[in-house]
Amino acid sequence: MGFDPHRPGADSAARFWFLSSVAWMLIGPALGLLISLQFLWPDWWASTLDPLGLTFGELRAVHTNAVIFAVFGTGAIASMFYAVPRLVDRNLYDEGFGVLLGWTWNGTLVLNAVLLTYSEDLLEPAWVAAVLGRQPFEYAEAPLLVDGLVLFVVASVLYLLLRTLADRKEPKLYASIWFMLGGLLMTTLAYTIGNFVPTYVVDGTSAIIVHGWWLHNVVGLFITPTGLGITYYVIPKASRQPLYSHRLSIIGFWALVLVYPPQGIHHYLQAPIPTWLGNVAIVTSMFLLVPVFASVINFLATPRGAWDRLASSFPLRFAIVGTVFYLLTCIQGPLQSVNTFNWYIHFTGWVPAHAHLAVLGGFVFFLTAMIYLALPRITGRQLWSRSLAQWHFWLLTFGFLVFWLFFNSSGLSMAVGTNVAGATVDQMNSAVVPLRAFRSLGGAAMVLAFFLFGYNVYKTAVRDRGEPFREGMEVVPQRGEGR
Amino acid sequence: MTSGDPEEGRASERMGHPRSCGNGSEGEGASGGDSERMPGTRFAPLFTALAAALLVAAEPAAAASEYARHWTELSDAPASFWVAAALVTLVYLGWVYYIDTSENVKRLKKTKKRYLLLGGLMLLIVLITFAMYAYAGVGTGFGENVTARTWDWEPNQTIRDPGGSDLSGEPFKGYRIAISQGCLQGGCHTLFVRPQDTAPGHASLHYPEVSQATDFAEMPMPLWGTQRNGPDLAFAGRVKPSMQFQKDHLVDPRSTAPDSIMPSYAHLTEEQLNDLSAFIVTLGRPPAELRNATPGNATPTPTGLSPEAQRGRELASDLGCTGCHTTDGSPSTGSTWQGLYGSTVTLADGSTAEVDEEYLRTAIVDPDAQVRQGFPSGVMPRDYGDRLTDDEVDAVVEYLKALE
Repeated sequence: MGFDPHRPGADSAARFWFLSSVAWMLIGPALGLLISLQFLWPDWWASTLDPLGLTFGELRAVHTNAVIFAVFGTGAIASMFYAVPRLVDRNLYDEGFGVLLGWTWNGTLVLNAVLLTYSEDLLEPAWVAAVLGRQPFEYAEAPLLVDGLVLFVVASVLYLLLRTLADRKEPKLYASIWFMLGGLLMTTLAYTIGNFVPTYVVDGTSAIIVHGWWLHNVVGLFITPTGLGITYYVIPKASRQPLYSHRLSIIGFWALVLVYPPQGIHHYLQAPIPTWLGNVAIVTSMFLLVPVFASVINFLATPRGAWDRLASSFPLRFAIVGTVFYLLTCIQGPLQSVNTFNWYIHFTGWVPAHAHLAVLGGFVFFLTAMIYLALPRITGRQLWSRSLAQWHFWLLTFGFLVFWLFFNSSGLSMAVGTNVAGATVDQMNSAVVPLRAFRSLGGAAMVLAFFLFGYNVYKTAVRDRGEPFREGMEVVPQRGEGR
Repeated sequence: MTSGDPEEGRASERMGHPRSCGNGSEGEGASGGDSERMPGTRFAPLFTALAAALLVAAEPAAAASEYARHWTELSDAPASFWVAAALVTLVYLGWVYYIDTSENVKRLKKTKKRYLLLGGLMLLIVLITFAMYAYAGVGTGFGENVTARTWDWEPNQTIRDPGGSDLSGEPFKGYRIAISQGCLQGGCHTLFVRPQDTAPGHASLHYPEVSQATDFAEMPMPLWGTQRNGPDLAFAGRVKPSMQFQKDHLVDPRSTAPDSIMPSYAHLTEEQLNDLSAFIVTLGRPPAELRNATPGNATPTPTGLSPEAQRGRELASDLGCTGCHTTDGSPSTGSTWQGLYGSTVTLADGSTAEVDEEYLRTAIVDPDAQVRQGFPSGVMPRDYGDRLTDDEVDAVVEYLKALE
């Protein structure tokens, strides 16, 4: 009894999680746009949102948590529910439980956003602060209650997928499974350690060092492997070519497992940490180029002979553009972890610009490719409007380029001003306002793109207005054919 | 897979799956597909184990909620930690065993063992790297090297405003509020000074010293921050040692710092603002200094100040001058003000200068023009000329004259 896409309730878990991810895409990036306005019009904030208790420091955490765990995390798990049963030729172990977990996950994320926003009222008595209060570590802000729920859902998803895997018909495991399930397996462990140990076990500088380990592993062990797993599925499917090299993909996976986990402390290089640990982090950061090139070569070599589909297939287009951004971010990353460069850009906007290049430019593009690939196959309906998808692609790509270039240059200007030219941070904040205005402009274009995408998905999947799907119908139409 | 989407099979093959299509259904119906049961019932053992693990973990969490000191060494770990760790390991092993005995896996015996081992290997690598961090981290920044300036405040300790107003607040509560607002880990302020921040001619003029690991030894959850869109606060208590100033700044940031892009915290309650201001003025200052402080101690009032000198005294307090300059003759980062006026000082180039009104005015507006021997240049902020009117500079000079 292999995988059957036509059985009752097939793909209901994947469908629910995909739609949740698209819904979060309307919220997470829009929050980012909103908080970018703090840099342009602080007085407007002071008169409108600050009195409501919605301050930058809180909403920034809501934004980072929303894009990492809600937009990308939800989409990555959806992709696993979609791809793993197909790759192992076995129905998902329990679709109903998958949907139940989806509701739990969404509820947890909403709870997290609310608790982070109203955290100043949750400080008394002490046990309330311990269970519901915001924790002080970046990417580990979620309160204890949310940590527990997140771990429960992630562990249960992993359990569902591994039970599916245990009954599989296809003995060999394709690269996507290594990346997705390996990433999720390591995430359960890394999340547990990263969210409990610095907060509740050690204190002082020890806690910072231990937190440094998690700070980068949320990217290294969760976002990167699951995102690459998605792309390993999308590119061969969308280009209709076999993967260039399986061996290379497995080399890439194990190289990633070996070099990613020790890197985190490169965020604290000029701080009072043991020097040898910083050196280990820098050296392994440089070695990151090995798994990156293994995956990128595989991605770019796979569509060989089918590059014309880049013009005709939305999934392939998003995946390839994402690959280019991913390559860029992974060349940037190792270089900026070297001391001579790091001291210069440390503490500036360069670093969050780099993070956006990875998460938005790389992995959200990968995820979008997966959604364009999977949605018609799940709903049995083709895309409601292919013109909207065109707008989505071009607005997102060019909006991102504008956003990223100006984000990066505002960071570099800040670095010149504060590190070399003797200006204070406040003076530089005034000086880079024009750059930050263009950053917000690019961000607005992307938020518009996400809303167009959301509307298209809503029409396709919920309203069932699209025409019946046949294989190949997610391709881009010829001129004049679009709706 | 005889029915369904033919493309599915073809594309999978192209991904490299030499898959035997269509004839694998005999004798396997019992193991997988009983999906008519209530969703989740078969996960009962998993739920039970998780609930038990959470219960056990609740004890250290409850201990933490009382802000008890955490560990500095592994031997400080409570018994419940080891119980929880053992339980998690047992759940993992039991689950591996469960998968191991599944009928279909037996069919795939050859490959399956290797995969389980490889999964274990991934976890092992992750654990080893963490152990490396724990080895480097646990114990760093404690012990004999803890200095007098180490931030060391506990719940229910109250301070009065060292700037002289009648405000008072609890620094530890303020620390909790700073966490909740994301002041230091929300992309704006940092709480550690890097070596390059103190280099002469460097931008970060407010930072007299480099942060050390021991500065955070008594913080249950230290806040270093990862980005600066506002100034570093590691020595904020020395730069602006006035709760009144900090409170005004929190309520309306641009009234005290025109270029600031900081949010307004007017929505916090009066008490929360006092606590937060108290937290800020404790940063970078030896706690003992503040615990014993009486209001106004930071700037003892010389008797018989003229109104203008009095105004200069308030300005000196608000601007945080007294974070570096003492008024009682004791040495500090900057030269003491006691008896400064009228004395003759030696400059860095070896020449001497008499401290008169003109000298003081230049020293405030352009501090690097005449650096005293024995004091580093580039430490004092250069922007007082922009921040003060000429009248205000005169008032401060008048105050310095009164400290003769």
